[in-house]
Amino acid sequence: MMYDVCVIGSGAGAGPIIYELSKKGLKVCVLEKGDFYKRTDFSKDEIGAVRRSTYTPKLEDEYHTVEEFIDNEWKKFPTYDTGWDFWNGNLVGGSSNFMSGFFYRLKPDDFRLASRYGKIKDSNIVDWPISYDDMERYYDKVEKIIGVSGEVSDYEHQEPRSSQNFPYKALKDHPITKLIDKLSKELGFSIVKTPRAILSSDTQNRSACYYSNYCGSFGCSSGAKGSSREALILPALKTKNLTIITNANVIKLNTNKDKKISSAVYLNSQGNKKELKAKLFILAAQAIESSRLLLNSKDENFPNGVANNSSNVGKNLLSSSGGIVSGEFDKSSIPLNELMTPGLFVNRAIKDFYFTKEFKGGMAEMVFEHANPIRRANFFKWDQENSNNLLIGKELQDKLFKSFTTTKTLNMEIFADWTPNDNSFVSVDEKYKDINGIPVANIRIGTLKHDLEVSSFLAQKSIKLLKKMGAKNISSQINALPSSNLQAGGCRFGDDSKTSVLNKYCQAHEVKNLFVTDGSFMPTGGSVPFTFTIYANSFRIADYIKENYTKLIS
Amino acid sequence: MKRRTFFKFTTISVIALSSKISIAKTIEKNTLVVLDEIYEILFPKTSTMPSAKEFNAINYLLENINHKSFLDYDKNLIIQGTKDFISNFPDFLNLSKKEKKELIYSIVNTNDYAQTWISKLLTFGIEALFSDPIYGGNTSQVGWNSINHNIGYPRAKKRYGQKL
Repeated sequence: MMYDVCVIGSGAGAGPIIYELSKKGLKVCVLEKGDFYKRTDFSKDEIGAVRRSTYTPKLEDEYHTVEEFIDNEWKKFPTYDTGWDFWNGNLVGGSSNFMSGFFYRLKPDDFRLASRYGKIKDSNIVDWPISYDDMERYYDKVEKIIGVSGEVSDYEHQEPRSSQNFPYKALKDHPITKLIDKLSKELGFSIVKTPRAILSSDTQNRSACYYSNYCGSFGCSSGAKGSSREALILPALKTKNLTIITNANVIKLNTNKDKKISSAVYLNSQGNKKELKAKLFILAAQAIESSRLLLNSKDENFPNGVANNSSNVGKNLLSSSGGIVSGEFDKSSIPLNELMTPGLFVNRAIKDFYFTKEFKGGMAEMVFEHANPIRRANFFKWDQENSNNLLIGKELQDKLFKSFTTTKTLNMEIFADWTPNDNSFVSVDEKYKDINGIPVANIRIGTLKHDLEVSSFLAQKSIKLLKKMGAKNISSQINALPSSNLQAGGCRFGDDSKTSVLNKYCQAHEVKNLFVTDGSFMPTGGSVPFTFTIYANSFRIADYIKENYTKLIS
Repeated sequence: MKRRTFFKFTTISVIALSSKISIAKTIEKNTLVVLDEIYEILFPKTSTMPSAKEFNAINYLLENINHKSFLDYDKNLIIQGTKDFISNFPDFLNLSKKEKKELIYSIVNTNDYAQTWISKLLTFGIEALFSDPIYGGNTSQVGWNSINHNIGYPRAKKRYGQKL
């Protein structure tokens, strides 16, 4: 069968395309590497959801190599050795099933960073080929269709909005926000409330958040979380125009004499090769895997990989630079019964330093350490006095009891721009192959000193607030390492086909019937999680495809 | 080790564990008995926390170590580490309770290999303590209750996130 559209992946970059094009009446087929889980399949089981490879491949079978600069040379480390997992969710809906859902828009100057601050030495910073104004109505659309709850905050860097309010009222705040708000004011920080892609009230098909205490990293059992699966794919299935092939691991894109994609080759759950034909192809497998697929799709038209005759595929990979500042709270700062209130969100951020006069800053998001106890307890096995020593016996047991029953850790997650540079990219190497014999993605993670300096600047602001709040054991782990769940870049969009992979509509410069709609298109990533922008951009591209479909497949 | 002295310390444990022996194809009975003793030292009963026996640390290990999601590295480290410990301290089971404890405390932070091995035992001991009882540990939610943990709902109906 020849489908109108083949979509590879089903996460945030794929969902809006699937939703819009199937509603338009096009026959859409999704190739999803993982399985289809229903809302009722999810539980708050820490072992199944977090500690084992339930929704991701086992690293011994499918891994990445991470390339780090050590002793004056770049060295590759397979992730099955290090345990540093860059898979984020192989299932229908992708990693959007497991997000914490704090949804911040980029700001107008995020789209023109080079113009505002100039090009940092050794960076590849460029302005986007589109502006905030081009994206605004799609941010607005995401707030309504995916469902964003919140309250618009009044602070210096608040971006312009076409809708005055969020469509859903803010989720309930944890009592510690009273302390945060009071002391933020005293420090002169603005109170910025966190919008979340989590419903605060029921809709026709999704129930409101029930404050389960287990949100980030867990699938949602009420449908409140705005995953691509809940908000877009399930409604799209009702059109009867959507086919989803699960457990389909796409390994190659074939091209024809017109240099267009003719088919996608995938391995099914039995490991057998299958081929799917379509008129138009959408690639949205999350940034690293999208670049990997293009680079592995070599043929006579594209000896360096599909859409890569300009040698730009994989370049300028982005993550979020930063780290975490943590502080411990006990009854000396806030009554214990309030501190231990389960389930409610902190929903506060420091965003006054998102832009500074001299340099692009970033933000700090306040979140309590996740509620799942195994992860937390594993930190307590190390001696606080001498972190190289293990605690065992009564000392360990007493620490577990005291920590869990009398303290809670508030994290300030630092988000600073990851400056694109020549040493941050995805490549493939024939020496490293997965269990199927396919070269794995190599991720070089070079960063500029500048990023670390910005993160340290933001950490100081966070420490200031934590100290004022009376936090104990404040610790700062600032680094320039990528967050494996925050991936963008690799196929940046731009007007010049010599320096970018995609045009401003995320269509490959070199392949007329190929669009890449996950975070790969982003030339710079802003200082926020990417998911909101990926959703909005995918709706923008869906509009373009709807208006131009006939022309695109001709 | 003489059979008589082996039994002297392990009669109760062996009976309790016998039904699970076939599941843990790769863990020998002697290894299990030593592990059981070590877990009691790592997680003793206190006025606030349950002991490893109470939260069923060994049973958790037996029921999960052969699952495909359990990393080979972790499995090998636990089994080989225990075998190496037995080789180095063949009289361990003959020691008094106090001597056993002193031995474990003496090696935990002085030997890299011992520390790596014990760290892994702690990791899976903590899993047994705080995971859903469906996995075979945290008996009657004794671990969750000990720290007043707010349980997340819905709880697991099947292990390892399997679809219903």
